[in-house]
Amino acid sequence: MSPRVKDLLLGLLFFLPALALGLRAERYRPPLPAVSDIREVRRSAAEDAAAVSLGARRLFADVWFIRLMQYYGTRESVHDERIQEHREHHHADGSVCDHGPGWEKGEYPEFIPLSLHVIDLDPWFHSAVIYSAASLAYNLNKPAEARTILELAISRAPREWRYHSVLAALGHSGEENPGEIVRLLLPVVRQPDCPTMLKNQTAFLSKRAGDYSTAAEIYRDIAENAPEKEYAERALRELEKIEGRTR
Amino acid sequence: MKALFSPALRVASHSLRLHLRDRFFGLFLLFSLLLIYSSLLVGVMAVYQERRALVDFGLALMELMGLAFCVYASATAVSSEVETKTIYLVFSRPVPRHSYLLGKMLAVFGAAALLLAATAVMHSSLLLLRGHSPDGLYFAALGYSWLKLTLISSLVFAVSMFATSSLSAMVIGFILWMLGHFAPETVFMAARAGGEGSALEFLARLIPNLQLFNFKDALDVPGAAAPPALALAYAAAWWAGSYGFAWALLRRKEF
Repeated sequence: MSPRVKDLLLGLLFFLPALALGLRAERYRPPLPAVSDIREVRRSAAEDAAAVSLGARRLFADVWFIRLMQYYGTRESVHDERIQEHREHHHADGSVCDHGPGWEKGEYPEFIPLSLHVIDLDPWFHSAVIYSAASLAYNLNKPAEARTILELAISRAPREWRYHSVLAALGHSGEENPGEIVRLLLPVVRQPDCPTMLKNQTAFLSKRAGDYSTAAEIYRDIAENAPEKEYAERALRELEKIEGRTR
Repeated sequence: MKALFSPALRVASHSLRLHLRDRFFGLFLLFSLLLIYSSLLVGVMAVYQERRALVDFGLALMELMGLAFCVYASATAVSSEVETKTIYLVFSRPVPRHSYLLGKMLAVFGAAALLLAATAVMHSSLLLLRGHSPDGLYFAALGYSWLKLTLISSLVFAVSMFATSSLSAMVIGFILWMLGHFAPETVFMAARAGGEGSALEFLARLIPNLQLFNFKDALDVPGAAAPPALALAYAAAWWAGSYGFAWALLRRKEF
């Protein structure tokens, strides 16, 4: 055996304590879904591999969440097509046409895959999960899909109590009991990083349930803290209305 | 012990000064600061998740810039002194090879700590400027990042002892970094493919488990961090292994 090989073998022996300790260290790893559970969206395979191999899943989850918000914030061409279609109707007899619920809200076919992708990268990203579930349930009229999103997030992050609250609130959505939904959503809505859209929805439901003080509390929070200008302005108008009503 | 540490500390302090004066250190620092500053834009796009986006981008950028610096500094630490023949001057004095090696490694560890600290000061100021404050978890994540950087530096040191060039040592360092984040999966797949306790599984275990230090990916998860004592012991075992390996190869090397 040459001296170089001997040195190499001797050198490798120094790694034995590290290997032995590695067995103990194996138990600890960030509680994130396995690499094989990350579903591809928009040809994201290379990006996902980079996210894992650079140890930056949270950062990439942020990027995908921004993409999701940009996607949902962009007007779909289907909006204009439907409005055009609607204008082409002739209502000479004064009749009002019925296109079904939420016909003007768009389809957003990539909304669910993008939401799932964020959960695959970081299921503890509660704002993204709640934003996705609330948008699906309350804006896009897809409560079943919203439940699927929440159930998947709960299976991966079972200790995240906000998911349980929103899921419970969704369970009551079909019933005519807005007060119960508000009761379930209130702890989530009082968190500083709750999506403004859910806060707005909860304030609206509080108003519907006749609980004006809770509605005013939420609208005040939106008016003071929401980064979205439109929501803040709308909240101020609602606050004035509520104050006018209770005066 | 004094015989080991006294010359090692002298080598370390001298090498640390060289690292800090190195234009690459300045470039990495400047580039990190620019990237951290530009992450403000991402924070704005994240709307009500600005804090999270700023923290995540900052921590990841600091770590990646630290990685680039550490891999470069470790791969060239000894080889550049061989090329410039400075190593003859060092070894003509009463500096044992094991102390020289230890000093060089400590200098890179120190430079990594200073690089992280400088970028963290800038990043924390940026967070405070935007009305957010860095909390204990943020600093814990930085600590784990430093451990990760020192672990990979020590491995690159070991690799640079037998690599044919500094560039190949750097490439191996980056590959180890990437594989290290897949370590649990690699061991699992190797055990399935070759069977429990197989040579394949043993080889897979030769890759350090960097996920142990990847606390920045689980900042929101209560109790997700590996116990600091275990993380430190694991990093120390790899430092010692790499140091021993590098010493075994350096002790008979002819210059």
